[in-house]
Amino acid sequence: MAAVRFDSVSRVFAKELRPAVDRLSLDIPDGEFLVLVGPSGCGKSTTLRMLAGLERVDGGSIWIGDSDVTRVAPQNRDIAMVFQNYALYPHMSVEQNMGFALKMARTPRPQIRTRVGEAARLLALDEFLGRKPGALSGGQRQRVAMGRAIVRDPQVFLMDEPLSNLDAKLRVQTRTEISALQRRLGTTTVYVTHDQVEAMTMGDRVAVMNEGRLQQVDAPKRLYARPANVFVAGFIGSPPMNLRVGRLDRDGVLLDGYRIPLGRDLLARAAAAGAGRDGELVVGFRPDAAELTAESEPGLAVVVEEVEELGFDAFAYAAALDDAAESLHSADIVARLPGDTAVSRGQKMRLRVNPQGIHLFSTKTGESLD
Amino acid sequence: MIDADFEVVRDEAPPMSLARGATLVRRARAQLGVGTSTWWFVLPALGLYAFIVLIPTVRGSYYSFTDWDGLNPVKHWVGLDNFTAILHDDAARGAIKHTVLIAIAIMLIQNAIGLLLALGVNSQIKSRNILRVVLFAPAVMTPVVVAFLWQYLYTPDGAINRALGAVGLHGLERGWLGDTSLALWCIVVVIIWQFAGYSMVIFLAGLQSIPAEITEASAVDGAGAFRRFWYVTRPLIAPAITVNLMLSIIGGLKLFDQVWVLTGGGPGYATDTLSTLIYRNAFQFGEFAYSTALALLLTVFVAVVSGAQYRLLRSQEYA
Repeated sequence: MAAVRFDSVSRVFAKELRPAVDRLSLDIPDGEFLVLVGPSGCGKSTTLRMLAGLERVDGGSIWIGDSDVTRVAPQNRDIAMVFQNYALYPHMSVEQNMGFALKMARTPRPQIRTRVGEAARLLALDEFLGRKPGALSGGQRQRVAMGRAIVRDPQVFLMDEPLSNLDAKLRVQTRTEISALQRRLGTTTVYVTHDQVEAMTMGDRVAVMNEGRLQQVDAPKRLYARPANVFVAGFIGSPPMNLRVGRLDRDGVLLDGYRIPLGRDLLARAAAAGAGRDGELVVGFRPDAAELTAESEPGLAVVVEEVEELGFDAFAYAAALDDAAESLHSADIVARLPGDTAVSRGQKMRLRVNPQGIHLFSTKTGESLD
Repeated sequence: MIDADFEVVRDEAPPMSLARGATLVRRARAQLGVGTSTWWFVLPALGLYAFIVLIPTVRGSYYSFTDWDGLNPVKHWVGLDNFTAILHDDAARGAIKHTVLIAIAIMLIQNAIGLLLALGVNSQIKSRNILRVVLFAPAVMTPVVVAFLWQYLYTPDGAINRALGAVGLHGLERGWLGDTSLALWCIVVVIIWQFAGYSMVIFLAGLQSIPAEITEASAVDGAGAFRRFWYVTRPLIAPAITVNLMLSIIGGLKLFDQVWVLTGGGPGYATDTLSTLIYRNAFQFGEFAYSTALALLLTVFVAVVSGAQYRLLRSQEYA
């Protein structure tokens, strides 16, 4: 087991204008479960493949423990990887698949048998040891791929979207199994996913990437509570944070003619950090920071466009009535309302936004002003 | 009462007619002999194949038990005389030896080179597409044309000797096709030059069917390039190996055109193969019956060798 360090690592693919991974610096302490998350094409898989040695590094260096592995071949890195399509050897039995790495390490045969047996018991694969991967279900194949990784007791586990080929129910179950297994083995793990639920539930820390750049690394809760910039705010959370351009006012922020009062400290910081021309800035609030209020009260005037009833609560997708200000991500404002609220399509309503739930971002840089 | 009758009819009518329909279909199938067997669909092609190949082969084989000379309408049944003659014929024994040597050499060397080329052009090198075309190009040429080209290269004042002379290796200059100890290998070189690219294409198809992830997984699992090939790539291209070994051994055993053009079986009988011997005996010496016996022997030989090889190789492939 070992810590992993990315030191200003870049990868530029031929004929691409922008680097797939751009000067990534990231420290992963020994034993941590780190999730790399981001939209497709954000560079998360490339990052993982560079750590595996399957992708060339064009700049910077990668360290596993005390050794610089930047130019080390994959077979000499002592890492184990679970691939998206599992990449099981189709001509080998489950037992041979799981024991292959040990065989390559010239482990004595009796010891291979013992260790494969132990891993198989741990993953409930005992009865399938003699089968070929072709005769296994998707979930069983996934477990064999896991088994192939854990049987080696490597320095680092690398997982590249290992759950994306499972059905929804199995995915939830396997998610908790992998987390539990990692905690039990205590092996440093780098896990790539585009699924933010996996990221939030599995990682000790989550690294959000976009367009080759690391946006924020933090514990899941902090990522949700204090997004570092507009991208993280819009990416983490489902439905995402509402982001609209507003204007700094004397004692609050003005959003489509609705003044949300804010604390002096936050206002001072926002002003100091340089809210744009005319005090313009991006105002963000999560769907659950909005609540229905009476017509006579101050609030954001919206028209309901769609309602998603989820039983306990409902998501109302609405458009601002005074649409002078331009929204950043979509024309919609999403509000999470109690399930028994009577709202319907085309209905006008007024939303009060809880000042505690307000996030402010620079219009120029997108960075948080909180 | 009426109601009850009506009910009965309405309930039973659809199942009865369905059952009756199924019975009719079954009976029709039984009469035609189709349904359970797919042989019926093979029949037209099989008929054509029998007419063009099987029947002539069997009828032709008949002559190997006679003393027919190809012209005389009179022929006599001689039993196995032609076959015992083969056993005592030095030319035939030499031809069998050469045929087996050529076939084994081609099978091993052509496929080894083809595999190396395939591994080379399957990599990420920039010129891989142009190399694939260039390396495969000889295989699309007519064998006789290729043989004539090489004959010029092999002549005593041909390109090979001149190239050797130009770099000062006069000692290596030879009358290549006139040298009894070299001529056979000169033929093997021509075949391999022409068909290594063909083997390459078949291996390449096999290599490209292996997902990159699997090779990557074996690298992460600690296997270096050679063990990656041995434990992962080789078993996964086993079907391509089977096809290549089969095609090359059959091609080697049947070899005729190139030998005929390059050496005509000479010098002396040094490069005679079964095919050239059959041709010479039949069309130059008029020994049709004896040639037919040799041809039958070759057919059985090819069938036995390739059949055994096929079973052996298929058992190496994973299910």
